[in-house]
Amino acid sequence: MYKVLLMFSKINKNTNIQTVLGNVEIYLKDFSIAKTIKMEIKTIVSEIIYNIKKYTPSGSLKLKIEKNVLYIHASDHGLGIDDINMAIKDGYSTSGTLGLGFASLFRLSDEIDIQTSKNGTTINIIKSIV
Amino acid sequence: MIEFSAKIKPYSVKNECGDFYLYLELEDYNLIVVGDIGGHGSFKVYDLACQMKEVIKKNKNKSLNEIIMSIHKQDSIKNNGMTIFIAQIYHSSPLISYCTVGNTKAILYRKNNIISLHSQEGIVGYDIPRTINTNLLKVLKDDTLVIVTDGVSFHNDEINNILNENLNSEDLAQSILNHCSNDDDSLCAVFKFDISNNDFSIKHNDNKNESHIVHKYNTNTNEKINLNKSKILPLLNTNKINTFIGKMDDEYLLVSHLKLRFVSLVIDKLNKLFTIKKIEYIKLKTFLLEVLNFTNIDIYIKNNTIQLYIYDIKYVHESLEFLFQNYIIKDDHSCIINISFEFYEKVTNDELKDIKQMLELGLTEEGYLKFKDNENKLQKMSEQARLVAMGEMIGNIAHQWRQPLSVISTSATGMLFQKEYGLLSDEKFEKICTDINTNAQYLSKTIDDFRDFIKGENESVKFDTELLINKARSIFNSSLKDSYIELIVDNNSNHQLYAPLNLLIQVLVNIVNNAKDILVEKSVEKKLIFINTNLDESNLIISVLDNAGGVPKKIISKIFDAYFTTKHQSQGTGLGLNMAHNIIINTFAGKLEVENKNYEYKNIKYTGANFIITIPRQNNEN
Repeated sequence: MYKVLLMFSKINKNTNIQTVLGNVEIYLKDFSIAKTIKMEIKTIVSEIIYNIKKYTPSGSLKLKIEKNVLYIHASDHGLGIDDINMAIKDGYSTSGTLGLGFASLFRLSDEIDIQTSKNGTTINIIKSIV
Repeated sequence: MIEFSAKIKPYSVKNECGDFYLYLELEDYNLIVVGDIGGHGSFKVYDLACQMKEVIKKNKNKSLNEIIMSIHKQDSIKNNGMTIFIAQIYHSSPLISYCTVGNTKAILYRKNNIISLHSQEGIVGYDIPRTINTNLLKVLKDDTLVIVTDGVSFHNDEINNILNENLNSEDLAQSILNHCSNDDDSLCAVFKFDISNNDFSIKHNDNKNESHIVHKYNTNTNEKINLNKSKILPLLNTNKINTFIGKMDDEYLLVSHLKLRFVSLVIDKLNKLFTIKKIEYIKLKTFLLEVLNFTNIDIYIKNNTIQLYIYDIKYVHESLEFLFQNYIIKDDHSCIINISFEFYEKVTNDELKDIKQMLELGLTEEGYLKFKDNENKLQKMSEQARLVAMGEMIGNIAHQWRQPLSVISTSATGMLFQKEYGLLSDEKFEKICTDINTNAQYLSKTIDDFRDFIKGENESVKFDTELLINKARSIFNSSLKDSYIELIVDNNSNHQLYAPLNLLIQVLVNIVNNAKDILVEKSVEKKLIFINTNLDESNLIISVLDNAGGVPKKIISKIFDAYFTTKHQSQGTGLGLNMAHNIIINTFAGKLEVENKNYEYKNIKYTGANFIITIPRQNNEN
């Protein structure tokens, strides 16, 4: 059986988050990833999708795994993150709590780079899966 | 602990320098600004730098974007212009957000790699980007952030060596300025993120008054984590879970290895099942046509989703993102694309089967209807053929039974008669009863024979030609006798076969019955039927020869066609020989031919039709 190389999903107001998460689950199935890391990946992805779905007209999500590193690339056509300071404050958790919210992206990813403007937002995340 | 230092090397003197930095401690974050006013070596640029610092201080609580805009709006900056790097460094998380406009450069030194931070072209006060991007970056332990104005220029190799020396922030900033500054005001600001233990406090090495100001912030904030329910709920909504990212099961396969010439047909078919928008329709069609030049495509359908399985997406993967909402690519370059539709017709299995078959055969709707029609006809024909076989069987049974029944009937009435006149002796009674019993046994045996045959078990069994002929004979013997036909069997080779015996009997019965009908119809005086078996190297040959004068030349080519009959409609259906022909070809991989033959029997010359069954031994021997 061949491994899935890349997963891509467009997201809009009609997107069923659960469906995309199901797809992520299937995508990750090919790789041996610890349960906690899987959970973290799904939290990241659901946070991204949720934000795209709620705050922007449309966007996309791409997952790619290369040499035990997961690359998440998300972009949208929204108006950008309005108040970054608030976004970061919201639910950042340093201990092992659930830490939902946009800021969980920062906590759960190894490397993250976000570019936001009134033309939209792109997010690049790097996360080791071992 | 985050260490921060900044060094400035003016082109001329300090109060003619246009490069500046600003470090402000705010509630949630520290604001860092590195600016470069256009021009150098003039008190005017220094003055402007000071003015801009004030503007920034005034707007320090605004967003980065807004701070840049507030500088941009200053009339005083319009002539010189300014480049800027502005960042917020958070107290409670390893995050920085930043904006860069112009040639102020920021690099991140991470694990011996140099990462350039995003920047946008433009000059604040003069020409800024239409939208200013705000960037968010997670800093990792031991990251080093270096911000320089355009007075500092370096190749990555050069700065790599300096960074490798593992200097503290102050020495690093100084070293960079010493090595890399050119003929301009130059500034270098350095952050060293030693953030083990989640300590995001900043130690600012202020070179102006040489005093070290240490800003400590408590990282263990008691801030409540906001578990916003509305954010969790959609995740728990399990309605409509339809995950199709994997390849669909074979039962949903619509077409395998789609052929180029069927693309239109397939899409038209799909269009009937799903409400495909015109633009989607064209998109899909163009895509399929394009991709089929390179590789194969399978199409699956399940509920509201069409799945395209593309064997090799290498050549066209770039167009996917533009065309499709959901797809995955595997490392063998195969690609699964799912296209879901909101409105779709519920497809029944039968309909799907129809479409599937249609595409397999490559037929248009019209062609397919014709094909179905033909298929139905064939089905009907085989049913009819079975009825014919049954009819012939019953005819044969009738013949077989007439004799013994009349014996039984005569015996019974004879016995009654004799009894009435007192002539029935005990011996006679016993004899008649034995006769009746014998004939009843015979009837019973006939039924067994026919039942075996009619049951139509087409399983292969071991038998020899003698058994075959005897079994067939038991079926048509009586009717031949009734028609005064002499049957001459010459079983030259009693050969063993492993084949469906019943089918072969059926063939033989059909051919013999056909010969019988002709003989009766032509009122031949001495009616003869010969059955011969012969063996050559590769075939078993069974021939059935009559003496009815042969098949007229103009019909000999049509004799095995379905529904062809020379008999009266009430008698013949035109299926007997056709059926025999089909059985020999399909089941035995042999052939059934007919020829007219002149021959001599007991010194009399005859002409008749000779049906030759050729059965390859290879396929039909065990």
